Amino acid sequence: MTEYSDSELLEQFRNGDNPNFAFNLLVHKYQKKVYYHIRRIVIDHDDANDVVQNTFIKAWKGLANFREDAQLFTWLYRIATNEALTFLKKKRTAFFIPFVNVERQLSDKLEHDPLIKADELLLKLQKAILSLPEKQRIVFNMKYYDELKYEEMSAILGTSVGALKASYHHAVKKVEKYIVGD
Amino acid sequence: MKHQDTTGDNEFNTGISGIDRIGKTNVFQTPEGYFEKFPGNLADHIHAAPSNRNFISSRLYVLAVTAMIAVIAGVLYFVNFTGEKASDPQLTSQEIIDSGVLAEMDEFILVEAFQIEFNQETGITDSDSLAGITDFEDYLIENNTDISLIINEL
Repeated sequence: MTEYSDSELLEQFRNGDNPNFAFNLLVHKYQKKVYYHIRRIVIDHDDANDVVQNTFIKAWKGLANFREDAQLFTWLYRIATNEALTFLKKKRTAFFIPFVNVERQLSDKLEHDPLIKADELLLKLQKAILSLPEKQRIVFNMKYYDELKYEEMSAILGTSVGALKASYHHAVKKVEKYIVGD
Repeated sequence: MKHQDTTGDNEFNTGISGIDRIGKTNVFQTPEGYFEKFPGNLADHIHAAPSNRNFISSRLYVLAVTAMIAVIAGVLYFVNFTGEKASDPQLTSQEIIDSGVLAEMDEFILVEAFQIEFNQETGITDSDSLAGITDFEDYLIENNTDISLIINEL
């Protein structure tokens, strides 16, 4: 499938004959990035699937009004991050689960989910990442796995570049300490 | 797999060697064909969503209106019936006599008390007797009947 640039996709969505087709192309282009970004936050596949769907539904509704002063993928990441965090918040509120217990649940899932394949060391890394505070965990994942620039992360998370650098630095130290010292 | 900072801003990244050792292998898997099916499933969801939402919102609207009617009916019932009963309880003839305020009594109360006793004796229900009270009252007014006669009868 031909990969269109973001501006071409937006042009097709707004002024083309078939906005559904243009949106479908956009989904094809970004679904994996969005999915794995969300999956690393919510861990469970079914939960991730729900959150990804909600993300793209919001994108569908908001795309007509999307202003091109932001990048399309930055905008999608922002929706995805907010949706994932909202999902975890609802999970805590709905079941009156304290923060620590949700993280413990997610950590347990790492070991028992058939859709997670990891050797001992990879599992330890994932557990170390899960032990980080929520925002720091997202910063770590975006930098380490998605390899985003700090400027891009800043646009997505609404946090200053300096704060993100410090956050990532602390996250790396904590992860290393968890792996080595455990 | 060796971690490489491709972002061009590797400040603070020098301490990452410990994690580098592990690599960036993706441990999260998806069901087979997930990404092939996802756009189609999403499209179905997007196009189904408005009708579902209308259905849900219309049901919510009906529920809200029903609840509001029930609340209003309840309040009206409470104000018109419960309140009236509390402030104007039905009296028996014995209670009226015992109270010693016969002279100040409304004729209707006397008629009602008379009717209640009559109903209790004959087994007639309240609803059956409602018209009877009005008729009896009309009779008393039309014939200019002396109330003291009724009191004596009670």
